[in-house]
Amino acid sequence: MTALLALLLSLSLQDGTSKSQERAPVLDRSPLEWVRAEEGAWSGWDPVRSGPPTEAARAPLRRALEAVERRDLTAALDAWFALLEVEPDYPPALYQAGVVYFRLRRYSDAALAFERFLSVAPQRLPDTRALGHCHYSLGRYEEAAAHYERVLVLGETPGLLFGLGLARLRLGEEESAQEHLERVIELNPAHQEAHTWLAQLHFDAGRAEEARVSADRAKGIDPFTPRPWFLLARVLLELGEDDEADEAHSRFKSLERTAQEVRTLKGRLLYKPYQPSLHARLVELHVAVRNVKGARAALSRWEALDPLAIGSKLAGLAAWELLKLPDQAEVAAAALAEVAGDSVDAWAALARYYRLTRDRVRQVSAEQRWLELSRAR
Amino acid sequence: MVSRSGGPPEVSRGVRGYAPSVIALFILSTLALGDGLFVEVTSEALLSHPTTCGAVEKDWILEVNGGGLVVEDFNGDGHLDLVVVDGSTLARVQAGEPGEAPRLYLGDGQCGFTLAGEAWEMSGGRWGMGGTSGDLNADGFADLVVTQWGPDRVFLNEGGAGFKEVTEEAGLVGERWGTSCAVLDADADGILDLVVTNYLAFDPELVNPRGSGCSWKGHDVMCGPEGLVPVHDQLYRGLGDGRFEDITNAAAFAPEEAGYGLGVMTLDFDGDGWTDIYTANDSTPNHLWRNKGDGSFEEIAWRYGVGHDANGKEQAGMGIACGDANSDGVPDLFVTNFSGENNSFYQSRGERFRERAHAVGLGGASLRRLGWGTGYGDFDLDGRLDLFVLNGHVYPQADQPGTDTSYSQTDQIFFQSTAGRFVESELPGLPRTSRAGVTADLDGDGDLDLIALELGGPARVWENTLLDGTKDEVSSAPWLGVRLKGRGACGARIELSYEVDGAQALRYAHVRTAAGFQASAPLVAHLVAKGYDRSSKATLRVVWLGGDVSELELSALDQWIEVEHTAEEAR
Repeated sequence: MTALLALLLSLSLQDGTSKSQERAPVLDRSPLEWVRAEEGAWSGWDPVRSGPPTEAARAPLRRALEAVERRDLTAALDAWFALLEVEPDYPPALYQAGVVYFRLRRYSDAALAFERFLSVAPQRLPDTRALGHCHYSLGRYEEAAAHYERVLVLGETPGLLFGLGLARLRLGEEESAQEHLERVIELNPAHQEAHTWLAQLHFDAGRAEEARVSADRAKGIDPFTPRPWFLLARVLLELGEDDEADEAHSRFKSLERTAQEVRTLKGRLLYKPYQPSLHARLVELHVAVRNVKGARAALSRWEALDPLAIGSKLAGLAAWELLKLPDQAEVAAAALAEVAGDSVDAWAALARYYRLTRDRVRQVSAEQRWLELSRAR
Repeated sequence: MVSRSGGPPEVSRGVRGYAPSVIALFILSTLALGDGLFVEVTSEALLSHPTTCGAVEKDWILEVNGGGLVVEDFNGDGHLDLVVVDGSTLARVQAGEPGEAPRLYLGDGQCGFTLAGEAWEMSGGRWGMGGTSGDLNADGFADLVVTQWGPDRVFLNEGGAGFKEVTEEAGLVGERWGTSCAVLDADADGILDLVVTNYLAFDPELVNPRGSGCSWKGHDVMCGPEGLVPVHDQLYRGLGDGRFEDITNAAAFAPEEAGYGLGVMTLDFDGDGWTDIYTANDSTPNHLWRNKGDGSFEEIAWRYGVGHDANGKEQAGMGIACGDANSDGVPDLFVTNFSGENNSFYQSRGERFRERAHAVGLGGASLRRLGWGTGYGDFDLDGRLDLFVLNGHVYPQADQPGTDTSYSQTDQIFFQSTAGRFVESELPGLPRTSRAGVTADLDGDGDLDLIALELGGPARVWENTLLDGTKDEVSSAPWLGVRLKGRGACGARIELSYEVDGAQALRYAHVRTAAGFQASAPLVAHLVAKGYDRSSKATLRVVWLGGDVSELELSALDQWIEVEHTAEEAR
């Protein structure tokens, strides 16, 4: 049954593949089109206690959830639009549409969706931190700070404090920004971005030693993010440590080259996610700098999009082998064997992998399968 | 030597029958938002001849940068004139037809312009971009350089009577895509040199048009610059007769990695007396070239904090403004960037710079706009430098849903407040797709006017009405306009000192023609003497490039004066 469902999902994905390469019409639409529900229609709505949506809403809801699962943002947005047509102002749809818009970097539309969500479900204010992010991304720092503060009254979280800290920094209120960033670090000492921004703040204020400490902490938490290295290089120059600065700058440049390509690829995948060659390149880039976390995330994105695709399994096996992570490679090989079917490439990779791991039984079997398929070509 | 016969005319000032408090109230109420300060006064001659830059669909990257502006007094009548550098279309290029010719418009000294006569006519080239002016052959008249997609061009001024093209023998090599250019005296030999920024290798046979998979925010858009080949900038040594020698390699003016060059600025950021160069690069780090004084340059942008944004990301640098915004004696740099990126304000701090756009109020206001031409000027004559920023997107698709920006955009004036923060206001009129821009005192009345070129549209002129005869001498500080002539003028430092409450005040400016993006300003300085008592004296000191100094006592400000570098000073 599970296999059948997976097959059905896979077939629907293949259909979606060709469609998704075209520009989705939903991208030419706007949240301003959403019909309003009757006044008070959702006043008693509660995400836990309220029952399921109407029958008419279930199909688009299922479609939306499947798209979210696949991380196909435009397909998800299309489904949320459809849902809002049959169930105007349905709060989860408004909220999720906001999330999708935010991920698509359409900040004005995201802000409209979140504001609409708040207008029908004002009791869900704590869920709307992203509205502050939208204002911030649009350069509306006063509005961003005001929203973060409204939400903070209801409970302190590192994410909210971080948002508020940055908004304050953008408004030139550096002391207040510092207080908020330090509080973020108290709550979550591994908040890499908070350490980085604190380093920036110290650096701008001429406190080079403090900036060095914060930048060091940031790069210790995530050594693959270029920005702490950039800051560290500048701080070291300020401290007269030119050789160390050059070294940090050189590391920054190498990481930034990768980061720049990663940004470009992710940008292209945002709107057209079914591009296996771009996913493969993303995995390759992370592996090249030995960024295990990045490689895992890239593989996961690819697999979520098409769980039965052989390409992602092949890339996974190659990645874990290159990164010398035998346990993960073993899992990847097993996953590849499950979907290998009639793929010559898959059996060739498996045969090679079993040969290297000295798994003679599987090696012989994989080689046999590979030979059969090759001859049949 | 000082002369008051050349340059913009002297303008006498006087309050005309209004009580000071009423006038001050009026100024406060209008200038708080910048409303009413600038009034569009574009002449029919400019409006009737819009520029051309490819087709309106903008399928190719070649079609989106627009033309150029060069402001200078070419015919020597004391009024500033205007050259509009015009472009072409790919259809014309492919048919072997020339592009639109650059055009000289003669200024009437009142912000009005008329097309110059036949003697000033220039032929159409391949596709004009930007330009600059300078006295290349030291005959006392400003000559003209025009950049192109194609060979860059040189026009010598024949004694204020017309242009003569000398491109063939000028020695500007190659057929690159030149964008901005600027004259400077890099080796301080008294002869003007030239720097040209180049964008990328564009060949319609090799570059993909819109519709071939390039996308922005989910919309199909023209391709580039990412994925296309950036081209190195060029540095030329002037030979003193309108010809140049390419010294790009000899002067080590070639970075490890070329950038997509769009804007150029000349400055002396380290105060060593040698003219340095800063270039704004699209989607690649900006470059700061320190003039080592031995005939060579070194690229030091990252070390000085002017290559990237504060996060270490390269931005899409377009135009550059340079001026001492925080009055610490060292120039600050401002760079316009793409939508979604903030414009960068590189504030001088000791030896280096810090990117402080957000801290001074210039960051958030730029996120939804795509900036081009920019420049500093004290538009409200309060003693603090303000800033103009011209905007407009490169993608017509910016008008489609979800882009968080638009194709046509408003242009901005940022007035600097007492606290050093900039307060945004807008130039009047409908949103436009503006590109190059220049600020200059076109009517010689002491306040700075503005010219902006629209992509595929005309050059538009805005008159600054601050000193229009009704509100002067009340709240605005005294001003001084200085036009320099002769050897060492380009790159000179001008200092105006005067007494304020028993202490010595000093205002200074650098004289250059570079005006940020495909534009060139006149060789003048505009100083505002805040706190100066109009009944007292002031001292003007000109430190000519090369080190000679001229000093003169002034018994009055609120006027334009001309200072010439004489043979005695040059000894």
